[in-house]
Amino acid sequence: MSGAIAVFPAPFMPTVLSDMWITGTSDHMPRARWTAPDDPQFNGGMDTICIIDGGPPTLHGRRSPTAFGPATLSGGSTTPSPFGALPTPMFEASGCRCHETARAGRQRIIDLAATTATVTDTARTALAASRGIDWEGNAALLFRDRLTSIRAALDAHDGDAAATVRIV
Amino acid sequence: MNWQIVSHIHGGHQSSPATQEEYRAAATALDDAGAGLCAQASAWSQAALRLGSERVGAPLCPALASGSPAAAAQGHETLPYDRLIAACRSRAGELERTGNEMRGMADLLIRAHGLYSEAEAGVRRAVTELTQAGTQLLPGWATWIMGSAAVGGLAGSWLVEGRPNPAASSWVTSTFQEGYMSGVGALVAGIVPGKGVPHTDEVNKAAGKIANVTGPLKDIVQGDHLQVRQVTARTEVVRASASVEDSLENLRRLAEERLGRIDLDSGLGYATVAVQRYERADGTNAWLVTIPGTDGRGDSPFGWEQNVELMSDDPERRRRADSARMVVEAMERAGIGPDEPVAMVGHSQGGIVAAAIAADESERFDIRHIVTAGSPVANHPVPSKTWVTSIEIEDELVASLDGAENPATEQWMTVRGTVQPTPDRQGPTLNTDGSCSPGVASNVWGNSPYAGAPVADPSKTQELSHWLKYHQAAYRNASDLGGPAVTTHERHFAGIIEGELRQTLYYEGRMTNHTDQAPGEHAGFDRVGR
Repeated sequence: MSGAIAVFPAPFMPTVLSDMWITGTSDHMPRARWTAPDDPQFNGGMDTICIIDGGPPTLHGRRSPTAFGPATLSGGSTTPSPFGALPTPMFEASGCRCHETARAGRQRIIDLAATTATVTDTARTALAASRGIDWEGNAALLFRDRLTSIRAALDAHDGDAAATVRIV
Repeated sequence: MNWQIVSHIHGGHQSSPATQEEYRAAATALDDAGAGLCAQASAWSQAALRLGSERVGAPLCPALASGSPAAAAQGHETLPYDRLIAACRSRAGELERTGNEMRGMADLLIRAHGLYSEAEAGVRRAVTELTQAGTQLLPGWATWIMGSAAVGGLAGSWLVEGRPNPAASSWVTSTFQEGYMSGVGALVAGIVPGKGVPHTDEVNKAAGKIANVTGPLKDIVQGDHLQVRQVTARTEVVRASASVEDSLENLRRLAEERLGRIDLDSGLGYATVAVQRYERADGTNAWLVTIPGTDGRGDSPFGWEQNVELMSDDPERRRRADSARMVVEAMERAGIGPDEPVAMVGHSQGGIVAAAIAADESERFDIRHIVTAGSPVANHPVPSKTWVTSIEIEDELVASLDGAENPATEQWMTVRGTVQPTPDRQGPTLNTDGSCSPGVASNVWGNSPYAGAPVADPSKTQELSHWLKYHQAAYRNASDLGGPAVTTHERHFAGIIEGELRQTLYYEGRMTNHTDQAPGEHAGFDRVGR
């Protein structure tokens, strides 16, 4: 299959085959970032990592669509080739979903810490409005105790939220 | 199973409207802020869940799932998910605790100051009047509906407890009991539908009509002659009192021993009341009369029929009720002077007797304060000089038999309790990771230790809440709440009996048909004629 592919000029590459080659089963290669398949190298490399003409290393004579620009029939390349560079993996790290996921998670924590500060501010205002209540009895004593203890707890909530942000 | 009573206070001394408005705003702000904190807790909890699911949302990226940023392959990233998720859960728990505490504060403030008691009373009055109207217009349907609800309660309790429980019937129908009684009373009294709206005494009018028949019948069966004698207790039953709470406990002791629920070895029998004399600092006397409820004995002045007479709208009929006659006789025998201040405390029929005497004997005695527990006295014309502390339980049925809400005035305060089940008390537990979880300190369930008051000696299953221990718990919760109404009423009651206890006298009453006996023929008995 790969040899047959190698002798076909790119324009005649069946779309289905090129899709199969490019996509595999991974979601690491969003369609938006696909480029047209490179021209196949004539008489491909001796092995999978052999550099033929200084161009980028290829796998079975095929070059990754996102690697180092289009190749020529002679195997040349319009961009400088990293001599000795490791083969390009099938799924590019810069396109990995982990970046977006981590970013979203980080932002979520930052937002939560901000809204926590807003909520605790509102609570402080409510506590302040209750300070002057004229009241006797066991429940009144508990009420006044809580005015103090909750104020301290609100400060701790703000600090803890900020500490959680620092984790990310 | 444990039980607690959550109390709401109506009437009594209130703060000024401006102060009430200020307190209402403060309570609303506390409750809203507490709700906000709880919502924020929920958001942190949701964040923990989302982080957990996102972590495994990219199965072909091992770096993300690892949760170990330092070890992630070059070009990939992750977050310290384990630490983050644990932190989110901690934030959630802490915020929820604080939020609930703030909501608990709002609840205490609202209940202690009766901030919504007027609105609550308005709603209750509307429900009662509507139910009354419905009962008058469609008595068959109304009875069928109430009956079905009651049977439903019985059936439900049968499923849950393995036996039918009348308490469940009372609980299910509690919201409509007053209105239904009012409607039935209006029908019996012959009040035209619609004419009863501005009034609340339909039941009393009906009781008056009924008593005109049952009174004479009772006289034939039980006799019309009341014999009252002074008796002695072998042990102390009714002790010195300095508060409403003390007086309620004394009432419970006196009431429950004669019913055989407790044994104080006092030798006192049924239909016994206590009259106590306190000597004040200035040497004058003050009095406290303790009156238990219905015992239903064949020759007792505290029988079932006497309740109907006491509920009558006719003062003469009320005066003729044997239980009221007996207590008046006991008070006179004890030597209470017309100008000496008197406080009275009564349960069930005992409370109705206290209200009737306050209403009808105000020329003979200076009744300053009465405490009623589980007594339907809303329509008794108690004069404004007599302060009333009424304690009622939402589903006890008996207190609703007056078909109306109690007046809510400066002098008339009602503590209204609602029964709630609570989890059993739990002791501290040692967790598998070596940490210790504190136990539940009390049997109170809610956002504060004063969210309710536990009922002493709780029943394993739901029982009729007419027993005095429920009213005691209701008053305890009200006391703990404090607030201007309870504080003022308590001070007023305590001020009347403030002094040294000098005498506790017990009087026992019996009904007899024996008209041919001369006074003293039964040793120790004096007959009290009409």
